Amino acid sequence: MASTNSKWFAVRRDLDQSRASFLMALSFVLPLVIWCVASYGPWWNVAYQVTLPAETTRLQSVYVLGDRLTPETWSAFTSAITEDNAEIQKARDAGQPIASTARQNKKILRQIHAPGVINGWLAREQETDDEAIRSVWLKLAAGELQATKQPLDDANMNIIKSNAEMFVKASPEWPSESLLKLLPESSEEVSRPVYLVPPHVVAKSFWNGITADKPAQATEGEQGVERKTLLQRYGESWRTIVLGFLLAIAVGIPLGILAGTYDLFSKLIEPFTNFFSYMPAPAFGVVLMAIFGLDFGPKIMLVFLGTLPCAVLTIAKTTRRLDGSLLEAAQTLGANQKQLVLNVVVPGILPNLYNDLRLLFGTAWTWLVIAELLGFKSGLAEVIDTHGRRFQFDIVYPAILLIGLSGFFMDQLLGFLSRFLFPWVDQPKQGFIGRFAAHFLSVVRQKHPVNSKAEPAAS
Amino acid sequence: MIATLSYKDQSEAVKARFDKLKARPKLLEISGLWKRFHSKAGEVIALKDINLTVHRREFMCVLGQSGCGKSTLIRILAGLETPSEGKVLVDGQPVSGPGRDRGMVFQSYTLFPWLTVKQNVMFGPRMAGKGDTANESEARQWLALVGLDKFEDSYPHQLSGGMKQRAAIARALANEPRILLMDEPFGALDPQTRQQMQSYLLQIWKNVDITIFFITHDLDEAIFLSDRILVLDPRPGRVREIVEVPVPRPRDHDQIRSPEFIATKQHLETIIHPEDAHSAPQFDKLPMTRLTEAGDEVE
Repeated sequence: MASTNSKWFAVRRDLDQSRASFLMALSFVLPLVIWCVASYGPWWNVAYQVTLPAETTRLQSVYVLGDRLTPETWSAFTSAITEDNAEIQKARDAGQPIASTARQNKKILRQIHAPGVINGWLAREQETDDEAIRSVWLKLAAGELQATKQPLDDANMNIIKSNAEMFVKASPEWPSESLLKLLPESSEEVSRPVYLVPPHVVAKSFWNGITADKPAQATEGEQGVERKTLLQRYGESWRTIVLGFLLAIAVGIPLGILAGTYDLFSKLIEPFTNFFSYMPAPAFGVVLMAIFGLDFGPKIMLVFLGTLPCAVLTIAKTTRRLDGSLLEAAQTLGANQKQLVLNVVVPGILPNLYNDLRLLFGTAWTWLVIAELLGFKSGLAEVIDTHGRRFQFDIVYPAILLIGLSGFFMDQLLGFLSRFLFPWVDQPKQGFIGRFAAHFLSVVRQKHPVNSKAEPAAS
Repeated sequence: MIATLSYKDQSEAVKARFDKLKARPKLLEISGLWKRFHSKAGEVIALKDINLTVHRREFMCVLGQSGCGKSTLIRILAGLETPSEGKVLVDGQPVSGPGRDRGMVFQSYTLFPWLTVKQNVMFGPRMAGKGDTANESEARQWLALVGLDKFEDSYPHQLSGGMKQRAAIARALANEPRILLMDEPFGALDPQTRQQMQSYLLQIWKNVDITIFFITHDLDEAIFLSDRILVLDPRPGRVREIVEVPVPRPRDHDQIRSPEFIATKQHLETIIHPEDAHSAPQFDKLPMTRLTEAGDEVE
């Protein structure tokens, strides 16, 4: 840059309003663009995700439900099964069908289980319920069941019909000759890693999460975990963090103010608090569970324990930063000890205290995520943990996003409110909401001019 | 103009004024006052054997270089520091801590930023348990006295330096103290505002039953404002002289060119900056290489 007065690169000088707004928007757009490029870039190949598995001895690998195959492997896989079927059919046509045990045939029947679960014909745990599986085959062949959610292709419908004939003939015994295998089916996916969920999927999942009025059905067969919607989990998180935080500041503010005002309390409280703050609060998780049980108790107490030391120390520091000459002035005006604390220290530190609390509330979210995993998992951390373990990152990201958005907007809102709470503080810094509101108010004022009091002129 | 007058030559009117003043009751008595500070380097004597009497309704200025202990002195009077030795009596009562009988105005304004100007003025009486209605109407009167009645609902950060200091004076006066202690109150103001504030202060002093103890390092300010000037010598801080100002009252800024004013100022200059007057000006020539080709008309 040639000039130090450049419009973009001026050392220690504020940019003009429009440039600042542009850059603030860009700071959000840029990461989004990077995410989009990473997700939709040309470097991801097509992958075939198995939705209907099959078994063959022709291949060395076994492919199961959910596996992602390259196009080459996929075609080798399907052609192997096709060859298996051709061999069986050829032997059958020649009048010398290949003999097969009931167990082998049951295995073939069980291929229908995966699409059966998705179409709602079978429950997840009915994987080895061969009678139920056989009745699905029969109903499919008779056209009584229709695959609506995951359609079966025509070749497989023909195989189903021909196999159904076979075991109707053999009924009630299992056929002794080999049945035809269902051809593997797959959905075409992009081969991006499972943790790289593209924006549109996250957005959709986010929307579904916050609009769902009842929890997703219990497809995973987990025990002991109550199913709740994302919003219900979100509500739990708020309850934990608010209670834990309020408790922490109810204790922390008086202690901090006392420590900042009187050296007696400072020497009594701060050394240990400082030491205590070095012991990570989550380390006390087991103790908290032993004391407060497994429900909300230990979670609230962990947020409390994590926030308290930091609250005491920062509030003490803030209190000490109060201009000492204000205290001297108040003394010369006749204020006594109690009046000094209540009428000078407390109102004097209020704006800074408010900002401290904003910061502390931000860090409380960190404790929250750990706290919610104590005992019975709850809140958004439950969503993240449970679904993260199953690699369902499309559900994990909206939950993480929700935490981020809550913290961010809460902070912005509090920052904006401080303008009205502390009118004596000279021009607080504006965040996003502040900018927006200021713009909005100026537009309203232009349209409806109010006779405001004359601004005091600085003479 | 060369002063032919000595600062000790007082006109009849001024002499009569001083006689009257000295006949008034003693409001502030300082006797045998010492203040020592203990530091790692050893004991430092900040104030050495100060003796002083200020009469009721007197305007007393304390003048001295930095380090002469004038701030320590006023802080002891306010009760914010304790003397190592000696006694301070206000109205015959010994000073043991800050109190309502001694109002203080600081250089750094020290208005409470969270209170409006009016609430600031109401602070002292409120601490004393005075009811809000009576307090408020009195606060308005004090604000009117310092010319801030239009700004009673403004916050301090909305005021200029001069206005802030007027509000601080009103706040101190609202407690109806016996003496007003002012620690370089106009030091942070620009010269014009400063002169204005000096006139304001004299008007206020005239209208209110108050004794003023005023610290400054500005000679003009001290002469313009005070009846007597206490000149302190630095390190250790001790009384050099108590000067009776021969400039007649009522004062205005044109008197700065009057013979009494000039004579007093000349005397103060010689006792306050003796080294400047006599010793060699060792900082006059800087050891600098000549870097310019410009002609010699620049000196």
